Amino acid sequence: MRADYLIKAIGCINGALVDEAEDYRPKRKNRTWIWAAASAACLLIIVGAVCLRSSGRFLIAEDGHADKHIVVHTGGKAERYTDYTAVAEKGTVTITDELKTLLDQHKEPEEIAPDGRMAEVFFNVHVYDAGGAGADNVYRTCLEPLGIRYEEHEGFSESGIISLTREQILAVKCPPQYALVIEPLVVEINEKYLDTVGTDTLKVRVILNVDFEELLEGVEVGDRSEVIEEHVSMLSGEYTRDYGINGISAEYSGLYNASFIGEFNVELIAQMIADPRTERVCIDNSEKYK
Amino acid sequence: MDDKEIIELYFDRSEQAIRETAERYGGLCVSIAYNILGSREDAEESMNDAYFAVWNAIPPAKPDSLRAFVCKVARNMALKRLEFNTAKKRMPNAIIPFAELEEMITDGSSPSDVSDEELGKLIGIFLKTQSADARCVFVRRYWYFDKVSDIAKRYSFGESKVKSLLSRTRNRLKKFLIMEGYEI
Repeated sequence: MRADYLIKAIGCINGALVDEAEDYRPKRKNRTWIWAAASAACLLIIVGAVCLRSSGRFLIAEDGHADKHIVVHTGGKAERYTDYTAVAEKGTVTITDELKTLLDQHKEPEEIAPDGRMAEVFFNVHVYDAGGAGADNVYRTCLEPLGIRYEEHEGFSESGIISLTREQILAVKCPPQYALVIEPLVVEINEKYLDTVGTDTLKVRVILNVDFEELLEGVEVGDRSEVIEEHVSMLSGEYTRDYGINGISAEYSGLYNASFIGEFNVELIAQMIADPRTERVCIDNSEKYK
Repeated sequence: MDDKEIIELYFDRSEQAIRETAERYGGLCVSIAYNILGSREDAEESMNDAYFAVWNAIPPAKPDSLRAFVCKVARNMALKRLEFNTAKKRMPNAIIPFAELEEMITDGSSPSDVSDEELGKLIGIFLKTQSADARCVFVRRYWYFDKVSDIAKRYSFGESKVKSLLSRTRNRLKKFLIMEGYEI
């Protein structure tokens, strides 16, 4: 067969395909979704660990969100270090700059889950009193009145982590005796942040850059886990070898997340941030509350 | 004026139909012809032939999509002109991606017992089984003859992703056609 013959034959495809290619707007490469799913997995692991340790139960919300597709955004970006504990004022809810940015970015529940369902946007956050009041008191005073509840709420008492919608976050009221701070669970950092951090090492989560969409194209559903695990294993092996941090391997969470946690020198972290194989490097705030 | 009204003008044999068509789809058609011929002048000249062909085709044709119909005619006219230019060795800027398709072809012959339409229909069936990204990238490259860089820009993909999608789709199409009994 000759190429010109093939070109002519392609010219005879259905007009609907021609129209489609002209009008087609790919779904936004939804890294937010992937990131959200990955973060949701992290949260479930973290909260789950805390909850299981205490009560064996997971967080649910009163209006039955547990039955829906919960999407949690946790990727606030930080360019500088702010000690929000120091700036929080009594009687005021301090929403951190990183969280404000996230809230602005996701005003509408526009994210579509891969299965086509409209996803509800939740944000994994810490809610705490800068004055040191226990999370249990914070929960009872500030969250419970909003209709937010745990099946067993000891999880929040220990971790300070909760999953809230934008509306819920904005509705939180601070009684005069508290100085509430709400911040994202995980904060992406960049080099400017490293300049201000003032320590030699940082414990961070490094998320590897994997184009899952491309990787899984044409792969049967049943084979996907194997393909991802193989790819993540190869990628993380190569990555950690390059940085001389052998012994740490990336985890594949099952929700499109390839990442590892470690405490590294700030200069090494700067190199990782600049590495195109890195999707992002995050401060994992959950460590503060363990 | 919408497509339906323009088609009605053709049926009424009103020359306004051509003006409306040119206004609505002229730019798109010229860009396809330009992609094929690599010359603005040749592309615009081939469009005159295309409008005339559309005028002669409607009626009796009553296309579901006027845009696709007109673009197809423009594409065919430009390809004819390309053949003419090739014969006259006048194709300095033609960018039609023959080489990419030749990669998937092992036999240089042209099957005599299969029509363009028949094979096109089969390719259409194959494309419908592909992801929307792969399908649209393929059509942009081999139907509209867009450059890889233009496709990447249009769909906000990386060029490497476009090349990768094209390569995989070509390979799968080759397998599909072989399975369907086509010696390519």
